[in-house]
Amino acid sequence: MNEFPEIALSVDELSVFYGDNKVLEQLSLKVLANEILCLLGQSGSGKTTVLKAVAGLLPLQYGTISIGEEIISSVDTVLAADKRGIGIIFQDYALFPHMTVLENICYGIKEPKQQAELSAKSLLELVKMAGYDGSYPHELSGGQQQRIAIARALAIEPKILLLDEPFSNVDHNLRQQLMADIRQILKARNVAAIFVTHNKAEAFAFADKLAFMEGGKIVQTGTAEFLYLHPCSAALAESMGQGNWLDVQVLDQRRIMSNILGEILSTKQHGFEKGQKCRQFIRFNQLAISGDDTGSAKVIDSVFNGENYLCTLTINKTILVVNLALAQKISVGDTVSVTVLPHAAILFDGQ
Amino acid sequence: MKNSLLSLFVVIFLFPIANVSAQDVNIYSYRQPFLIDPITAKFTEETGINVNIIYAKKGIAERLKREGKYSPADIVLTSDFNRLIEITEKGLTQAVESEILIQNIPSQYRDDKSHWFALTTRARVIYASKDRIKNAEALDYEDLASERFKGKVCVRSGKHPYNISLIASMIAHYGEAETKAWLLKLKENLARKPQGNDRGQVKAIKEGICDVSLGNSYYYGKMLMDDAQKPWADAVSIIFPNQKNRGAHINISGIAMTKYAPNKENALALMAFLSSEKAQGLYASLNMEYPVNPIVEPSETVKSWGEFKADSLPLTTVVQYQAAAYKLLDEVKFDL
Amino acid sequence: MQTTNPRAWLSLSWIVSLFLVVPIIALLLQSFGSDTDLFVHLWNTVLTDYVINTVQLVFLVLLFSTIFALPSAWLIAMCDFKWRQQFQWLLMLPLAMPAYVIAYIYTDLLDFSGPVQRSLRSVFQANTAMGEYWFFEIRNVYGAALMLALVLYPYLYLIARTSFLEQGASLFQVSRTLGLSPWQSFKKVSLPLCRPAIVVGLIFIGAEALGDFATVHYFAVNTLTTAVYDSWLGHGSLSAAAKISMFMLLSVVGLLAIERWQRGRQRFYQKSTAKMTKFKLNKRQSLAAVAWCLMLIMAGFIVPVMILVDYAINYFAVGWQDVLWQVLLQSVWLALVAAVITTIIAVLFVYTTRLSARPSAHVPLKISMMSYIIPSTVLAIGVLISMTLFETSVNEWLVSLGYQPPGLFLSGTIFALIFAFVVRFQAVANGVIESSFLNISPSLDMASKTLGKSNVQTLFSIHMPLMKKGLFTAVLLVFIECMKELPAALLLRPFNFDTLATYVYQFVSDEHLEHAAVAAILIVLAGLIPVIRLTQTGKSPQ
Repeated sequence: MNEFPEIALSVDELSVFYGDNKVLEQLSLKVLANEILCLLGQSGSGKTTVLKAVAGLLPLQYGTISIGEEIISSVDTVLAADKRGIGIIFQDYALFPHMTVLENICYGIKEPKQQAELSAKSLLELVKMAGYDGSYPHELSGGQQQRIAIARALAIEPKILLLDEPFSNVDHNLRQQLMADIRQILKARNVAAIFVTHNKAEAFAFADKLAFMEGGKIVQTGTAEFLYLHPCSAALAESMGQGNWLDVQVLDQRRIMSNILGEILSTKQHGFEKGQKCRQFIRFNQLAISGDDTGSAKVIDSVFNGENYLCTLTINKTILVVNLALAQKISVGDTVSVTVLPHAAILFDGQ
Repeated sequence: MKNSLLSLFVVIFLFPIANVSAQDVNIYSYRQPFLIDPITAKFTEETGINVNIIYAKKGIAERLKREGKYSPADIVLTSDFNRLIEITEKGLTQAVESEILIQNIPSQYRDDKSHWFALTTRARVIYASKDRIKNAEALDYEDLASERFKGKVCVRSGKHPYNISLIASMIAHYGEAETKAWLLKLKENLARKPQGNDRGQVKAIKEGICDVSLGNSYYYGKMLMDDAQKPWADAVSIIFPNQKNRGAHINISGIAMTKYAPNKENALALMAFLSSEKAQGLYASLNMEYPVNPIVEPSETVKSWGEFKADSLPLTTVVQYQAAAYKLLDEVKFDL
Repeated sequence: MQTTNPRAWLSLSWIVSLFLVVPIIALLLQSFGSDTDLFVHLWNTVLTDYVINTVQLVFLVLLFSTIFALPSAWLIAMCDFKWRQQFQWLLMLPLAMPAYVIAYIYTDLLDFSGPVQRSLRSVFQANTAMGEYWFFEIRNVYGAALMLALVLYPYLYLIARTSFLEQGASLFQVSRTLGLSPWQSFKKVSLPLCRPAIVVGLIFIGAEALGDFATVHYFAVNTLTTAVYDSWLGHGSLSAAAKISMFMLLSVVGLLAIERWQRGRQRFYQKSTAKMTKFKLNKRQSLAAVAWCLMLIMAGFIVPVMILVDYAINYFAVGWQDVLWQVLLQSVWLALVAAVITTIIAVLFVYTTRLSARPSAHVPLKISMMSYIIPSTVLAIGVLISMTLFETSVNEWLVSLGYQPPGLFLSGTIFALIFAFVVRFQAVANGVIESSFLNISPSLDMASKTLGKSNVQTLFSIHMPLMKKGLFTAVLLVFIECMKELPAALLLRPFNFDTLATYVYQFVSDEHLEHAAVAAILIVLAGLIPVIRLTQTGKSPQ
């Protein structure tokens, strides 16, 4: 094996327009063999368009898409969707309603009927749906339908699987298990995947690597943890976890001054120049409060969210939200003091 | 699904389509099948020549014109003179030199240039209620516009060829202005908006909707032959108008050979047959029309209506006023 | 390397649609002839009356159709009452009845000498003279509109019912919880949501009413179609006739544009996936609903059919001709072929718009619908002009190459009829097929393609089976229309060829429908059987 990791799919400078509307602009990404890449972004950021372009369901205006060494899409030539060997999974499952489960899975298999049915049955076992051969899609639950859709997509032994918000219609309590199962199947069968979602929890649980999209571009790529800690855009910062926005001024490479919280220390150099006015993003769990009659903040609301409390405070007419451990006893109306827990500061230009 | 589609297509393309073969004569007919079918059946029986017919009340001239020299049609049969002249004037016909036709059809009933030939004649008569109209025998067309018949006249659409022809003859006699005045008064006298056909007007007289109407003479005989319509005919008397002056307006049904007739000889045979004693007799007995062939007598029923004086104005003159008649009808909004 | 580019589909669609608009182009060229004098004459005399009559007729037909169709559609879609299942398809039946037949029957029934007035007179011992008592006159624009609406409302009913079903009950229920009465909720929620569907239905009905000649002529109502015939046959100006037809076409297109613009950016298509619970009507409401549906079916179908049967029995000796078998077979065959071809073309057009995002992909679908608005006779002339022109040039060309000219290999044959029917009724099939395709999620197409199937394979293995009902509906509607179609059949038919419609009409125009009652019943039966079959496929699971 090569010492460099093998690239399963690469998209280079891809641009797609709908009429005058630029949906994707000079977008590039790489998916390594057996890697699950998550395209994260708000609706309208162009995530699904990337999938369609990769699947060959859209013409492109600029750039190339290749599997391994072979270029499958360019401005002049687009390899037909049916010749690509790319599987795709949709939010609405897209099972053919007039076919049984078995017929659905056999649909793409180019083998004699008996052999195809054998392969289909082993796929059914793989997705833990053995015994449902004769059922019709409308007789199955959302999670079950998505399992069948996975089996159907895997039936053509794709090198790459595209998943378009595959879990958003699945019941919440079944979702974790389904994600774990599918992830395991993809890893076991050595299939690379692109997975589109707007839900960070799904992204964290399912993907190896995240790419965040904004306005038709990928703004940052990396592991979930890296993007969480070092987001390069405000939208990304918010997508990775809730937090408070503060207007601050840079004191030096590690110290920042806030009107509300006073001096804040960053564990890493933030790279902004001294005296610059910035906006700082501090997550709910990067703040702590303690009961303190001399404190400057007052608790105006407290909500239980399953793992801890979310406390809303006011300091100088500014509102802050803070995570509070269950054990801590603070009630609405209390006066508290706020401390910033040590973390690498997340700063953005402008106020 | 696929199989049933396939079998459907097999059925579609195996379906037999009537073919037009060489021992044929092809007719475009304005006249109705009830009348023409029995006569052509006789013709086929006698000659073995197949007769193929398309019946239509509208658009035959247009079709013939568009088909041009590849048209399959040999013969056009018309139910009135206007349409006969229309195809002749559009150059869609050819001259037919035939001793038999000249012998069978008197000269006033055929074209000087032998393009058209009349087969039958009929008068445009007045039907009057037997109960309500006294001394009806002396009625003229002009009387229908008189005070006497206010709200008592029924007619079919003024734009029907039979009425157009009558109005054109009025223009020929009186000029446009006077005819327009007549039409206006006639319109005022109408019991109801022009509608239905000639028989419908007789029915209306029977029902008491009106007292007098216009109609072709043969309908009287045809209604007497029909069980359901006999009571209508029994309620009216047939009046040949203008007997004391110019005579009743007559119209003709006729025949012409198309310019590019592919089966010329068969067509000629058919024309000869239609003017012959046998066919003329059928016209007389089936449709109660007056045969043009002088040796053939009208049917007994028709004869019982008596002799009448016909307007001597040539139809070729009348037809020149056809366009004017149409315009007058629009101007007085006759049908509206 | 193969491409997903739907260029092949696009080109095929364009070529086919160009063939379909050739008759209109021929008419358009024809309409450029000079006829100022005639127009001045028409303008000074009757044209305004014709326009007023036409507007009045179309408006009344649309009004009556709406009154008939919308309440029935809403009742069937949203409410539960006795015999709802049966009414659902019974309400479609009047579609199989030709308008000129129903017009004849009702005139006969309600005339002064008809059984209704006769029995009224005998009951009241009234004097037998006409005009001495009041009874409504049927032979006028109201009567004509009523007759047309009675047989055309099923179009609106069919489309509106589907639209109401798709809305589901939840929006209506939300409106009720917000404090609006059932009637207000219907007016403010259900009806506006259904507007695009209603407009489509009304266009079909309006086009039929606008182009009708047989019925209005029988009722002595002079409309623009009268002007078309007058110009062509009376004044001998085909160009004026074509001009008036083009004007009619343009005004309908204009009205549509206004509707589009006025509807603005509102979005209507919202599929409700929630299972709908129907309103349970109480006894009195249920009775009223049943009475309403029954009344429509009686008036539009049962009464006319019973009268036809009565005619048929009384006149069986003259009415039953052996030739009828052949005429029936020919008509059914002709209508079926035209319906199947029309539907195939509609699938081609709509599938092309699905494959290609380009605006040009919609052009074939749209332009092929224009010919529905042109009066049938005029369209038939367009077919005649273009076809004979083509044949003449082919003949000339072959002669110049030294071959025997083949003659009129198209216009003199049944091909001309099929072509005219396809051109005329393409709009009907397009409409049905378009909405059927909309019901199929686009992700199914994508799934199929990524599973290695071509566009054609996807069409046959996914779309066609899923649209079975839509395909059948399209074939059925076009079939029924072709069975009834008259003017084109009269003008273009080959030698010795009758359809049931031409056969019946020759008697109707002679005021002798009684003699053709058997044939008229056959037209109705031929439409009836597939309607019943349609409702059976509707019940199968899916």
